[in-house]
Amino acid sequence: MTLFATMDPSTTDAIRILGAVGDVFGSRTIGYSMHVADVAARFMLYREREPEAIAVVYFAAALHRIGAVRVVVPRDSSPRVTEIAGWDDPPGGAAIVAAARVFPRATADAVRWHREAFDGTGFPDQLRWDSIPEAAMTINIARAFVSSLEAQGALGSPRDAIFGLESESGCVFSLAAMREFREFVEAEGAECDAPYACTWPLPQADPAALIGLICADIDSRQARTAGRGDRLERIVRTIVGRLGEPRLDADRAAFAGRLTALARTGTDGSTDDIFTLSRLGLEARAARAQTAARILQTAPSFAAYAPSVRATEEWFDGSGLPDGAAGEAIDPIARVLAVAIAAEALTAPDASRRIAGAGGTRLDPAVVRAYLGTEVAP
Amino acid sequence: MMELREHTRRIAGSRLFDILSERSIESVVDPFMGLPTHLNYLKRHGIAVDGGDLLEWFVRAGEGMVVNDFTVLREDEVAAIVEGTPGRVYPVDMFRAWDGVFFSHEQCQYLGIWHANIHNLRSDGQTGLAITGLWHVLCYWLQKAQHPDEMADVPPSELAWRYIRETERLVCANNARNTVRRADYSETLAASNAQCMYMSPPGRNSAAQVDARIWMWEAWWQGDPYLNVERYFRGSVFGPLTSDHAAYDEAIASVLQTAERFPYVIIQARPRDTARLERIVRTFRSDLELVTPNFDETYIIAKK
Repeated sequence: MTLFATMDPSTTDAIRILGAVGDVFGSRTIGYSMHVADVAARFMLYREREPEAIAVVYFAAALHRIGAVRVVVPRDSSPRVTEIAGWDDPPGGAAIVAAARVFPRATADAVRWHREAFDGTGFPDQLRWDSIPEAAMTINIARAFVSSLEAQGALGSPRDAIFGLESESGCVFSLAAMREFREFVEAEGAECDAPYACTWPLPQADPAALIGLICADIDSRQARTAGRGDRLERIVRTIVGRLGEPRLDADRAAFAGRLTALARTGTDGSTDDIFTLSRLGLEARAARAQTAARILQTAPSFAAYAPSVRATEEWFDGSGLPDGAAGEAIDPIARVLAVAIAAEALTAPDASRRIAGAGGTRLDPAVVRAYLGTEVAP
Repeated sequence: MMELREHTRRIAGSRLFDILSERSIESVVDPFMGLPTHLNYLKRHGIAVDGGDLLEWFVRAGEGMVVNDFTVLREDEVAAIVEGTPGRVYPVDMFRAWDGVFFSHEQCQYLGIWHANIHNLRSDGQTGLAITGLWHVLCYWLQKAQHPDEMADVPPSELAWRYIRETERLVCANNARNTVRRADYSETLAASNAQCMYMSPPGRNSAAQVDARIWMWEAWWQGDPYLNVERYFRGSVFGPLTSDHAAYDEAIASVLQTAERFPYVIIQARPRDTARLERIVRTFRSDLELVTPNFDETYIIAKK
């Protein structure tokens, strides 16, 4: 059932991408957050809530894991430190949602408090009883339900999934919410987690800006990479301008440059792009590039960027990953991005020499020549 | 069966932290802290905190989660709290007055056992953590008494074990001296050098409407099931004398007057009180800012 008038499909896609980024950072399968959003919105619809309240829950559920982007846990931290650091996910997510300035006002708070427990043992604020907003409690139930459903695999059913939640009634979930959710699952059956078409209008939303926002957040996880998207964009634009290749669109290539931040998702999204000209860490970088491509493929409006982001670790001589493509077979934007990533990452005095030396093996020599001719400072 | 009020003041440490960090405030005092989970959040994020309250169990809980930097309860220590030690004589009749009224016979016996065990703990930090954990058990039992079929049957010691273990996550250090005290607001404020006073004012004559889960736990901690907590508030600023608007406003004003030396004052208000509180604050400070993150929360931020 479609409730709302219009929402730009590319905005929906941008939200999908943000949700997928949260999934990767939250060690979930890509699509988990959208699944939670579907269940949560359908639950609100079943309770006959106002359209705006449903939209709030839908957006907040889709973005409920996004705060993990802002939590940086040192490697080899103890499980306790990692768990406690995770308490900052929801406020971080709320800050990201608020910074986007496009979602209904209550969305940020729904993200902030979606892990609060009815008995006051949740996080981040240990809110209790009905001081937890309904939207937040709804997302928490939907989240637990989807986790339970996914844990059961293909053989699981919604009724089995809800059985695992019963013991948390009165603890994590309020009795009233749990009661209603049980009725909802009974009434809707297999339809309770069917995809939900939310078309609530977000007139202020600029999909590219939304994605740019999260890419900037990912870059800000480490001091060295903060502001990387802007630097990459500048380098890419200069290279493309210099190449004069009519098939290369500068805007498109520049945006793809920003999207390479998605290849830094996950808790191990390290700064190993400083080794981008060597084989050290190539497998890990290529795997993350593939993850970035999978994130983009979840959103039809942005899926066209997936091949470019995916191929950034291909080597011009065919010895790269993931496909071992060579020469002109490599996506043209990916060849530009490979040079731009190296130029941005390498700050040593001999960066230009090293990039020049990689032409023909790691990098496309024509792109290298274009870059070196521009004298762009990394 | 007693009526459990669902509504409680929403005091969110994360929201407060956003407000404080935007203004580079590094220390805060809350003279009406209640259960100080918000102070615990602020402490975890590096803010030095002081708190005060008139109910002792809130202060004890604060010693566990605000003052305590390192002490946790090991598994054997939790086990020693939640179950009786064989051979030891326990005051299992201590809460007989509640038997069959609010709790079952077995539950009342456990309340007596826990009361004795918790007074044997070796540190204030551990005591505070255990009090906080066991309070959740009390809440669970009261809730379950109303909805027996909708909540799982969990043996008392297992429930206590689970909730006390949860409190371990509240222990953290922030390299600052954080304090809580059982005192009137003026004493708490006088003892603090914080940059900011935060308060979420109690309601009018709130002592008469204290939630059962709050007064019962004070009664449990004091070992007196007949305890009437209203007497704690009798002479206090928000006590019975504040049952009308004028007296209540006067009480707010007297707190603000005492807090005059603090560079910042933050008052969390509900929509219906915002205009009135704003007017009172303006008589003390002219540099005012209102932050309203959602329809039922407003923060009046006054700078000196």
